[in-house]
Amino acid sequence: MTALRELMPCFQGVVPAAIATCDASGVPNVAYVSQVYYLDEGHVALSCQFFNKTRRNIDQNPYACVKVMHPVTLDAWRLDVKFVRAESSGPLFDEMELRIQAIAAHTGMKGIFRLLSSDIYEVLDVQHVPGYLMPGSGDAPRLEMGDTRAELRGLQVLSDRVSRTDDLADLLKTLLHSLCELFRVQHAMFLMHDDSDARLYAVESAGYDTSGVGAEVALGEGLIGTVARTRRPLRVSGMAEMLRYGRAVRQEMQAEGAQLCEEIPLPGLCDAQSQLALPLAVGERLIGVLALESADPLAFQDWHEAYLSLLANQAALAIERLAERADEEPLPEPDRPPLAARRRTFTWYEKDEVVFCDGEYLVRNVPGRIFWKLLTEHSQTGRTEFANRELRMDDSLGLPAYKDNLESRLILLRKRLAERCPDVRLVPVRRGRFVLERDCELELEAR
Amino acid sequence: MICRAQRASCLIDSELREFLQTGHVCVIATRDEELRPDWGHAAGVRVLKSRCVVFVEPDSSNRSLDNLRANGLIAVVVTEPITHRAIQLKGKGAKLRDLTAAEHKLASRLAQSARQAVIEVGIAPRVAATWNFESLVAVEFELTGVFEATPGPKAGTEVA
Repeated sequence: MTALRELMPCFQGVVPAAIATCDASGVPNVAYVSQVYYLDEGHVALSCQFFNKTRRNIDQNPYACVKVMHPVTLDAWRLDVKFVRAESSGPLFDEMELRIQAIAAHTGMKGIFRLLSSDIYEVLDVQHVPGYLMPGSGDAPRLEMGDTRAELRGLQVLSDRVSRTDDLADLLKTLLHSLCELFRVQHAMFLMHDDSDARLYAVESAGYDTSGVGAEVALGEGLIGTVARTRRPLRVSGMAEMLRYGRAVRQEMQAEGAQLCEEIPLPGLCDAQSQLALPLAVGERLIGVLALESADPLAFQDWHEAYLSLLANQAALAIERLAERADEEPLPEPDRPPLAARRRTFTWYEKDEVVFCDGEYLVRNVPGRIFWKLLTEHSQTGRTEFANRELRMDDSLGLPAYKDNLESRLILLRKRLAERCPDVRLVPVRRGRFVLERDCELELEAR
Repeated sequence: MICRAQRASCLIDSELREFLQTGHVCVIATRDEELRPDWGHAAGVRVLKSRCVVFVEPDSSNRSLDNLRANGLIAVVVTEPITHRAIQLKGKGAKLRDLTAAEHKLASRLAQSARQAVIEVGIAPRVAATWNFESLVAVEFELTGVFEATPGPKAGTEVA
């Protein structure tokens, strides 16, 4: 009998599993299963999303035979199983449901496409299926799991780097770039949580062609929004297969007359095949979400989730620490810099709380209000240096009195300016202070 | 009076027949005398008037072939991986036999098409090429039902 743990790659959902059952009168049935979940060496759990024929058969006859396939080699194993019980609450159900919720949220089927139960089966036998592949195709290669000591060392190095940073921008940059360097992550993004409007905003990224800073996700929307709402990590392998499955169900439900929402486009890679999203939280407070992506359907394994969850906890505490530190007192104004001949027009749309630069969207909500305040004050008084403290004390900006995420909002604003309007910059000069630099004339209009 | 097999075969219209014989991914289910189910690996199906033939790979499906010899009850699901559209056929009285010359040609085309179907969903062509359909057994059975098997609320309902 093959050890179940050797089949972990088969449980990633990249290639759908199938289950053969039969009813009390002996009529066989075969169906595909969206999730086969490894519980322990003697048990697996299968997702039950519809009261279908498989479920009715199992109620009559608890025996089943599951087909799982290796996602790289297509080699197959036969699992003889016996139904034990169905769980519709508890940690296992929650973990399996999270993945279903993510598919539902992404494919516009929130509340409709859901997990009914996690069905636990005792594994009676596991056999490799001879003849499934051509003779001479070779044994299934084991997936490279890396050198555990090297991964531990990487975690230590990354942890040290994060703990040494002393401003938020540096921390986020160090975190994402070290993940790419030490853990061979190709694409990473940090999205900050904004309590004021229940959204997440990308404030730092690594490995993408364009930074994506400013991209938004609503709480509960898509994979990242689901992780933010539930505060639980989510690893999705074989995303293409997962979305194909979700879209098939969506089409069937639409044919039945169900009213569904629009599909949510994924931020980040357009061809992402796997994603690992980790919540950064301190106690009950959500700081943000660390989202890692890859075009490789098997890029993230169990150990990534375990190791990087530790790191996410540390990063959450570090972000909290840096966001809380005391601001320094204001300093005298420096001389105004010379102006260049260029002109930039900034428009403030008060109703939508959004700032445009030369007719193109720049930033909105709290970062938009902050930027508009800086621009108007600079324009009216010529002032260039500002303190975080005065922003915190300005009620018109709508910053929450407690845990205001001001540092993260300023990082987002700086990055949006660097991308969309490099002629205007907010340059930190010391702890809690920054200057507005510009190489252009400003024209401001409020609408 | 119309018998069950005739009614089931009537449910296979030309569109469904084309879908079934295009060559998607095909899995069979059987069970033994103690009602222990099993699955088997197949290259595809051929639709006859009130009967169907499924081309089963014997080395990977010997347990299912033993079950079929014993009780003749079979379920076959044909799935298009890119859309997850799936149809399940139920049958009885299954008999094992060699493929005819025409069926060899058909099975070869179905196998090639099945390999192509998994390439479409990201399996490397060199890997798909190792999927074994070299020596197949024809399992001919009387059709007793045709069911929707696409994931969703209608899965398991009889094709209208």
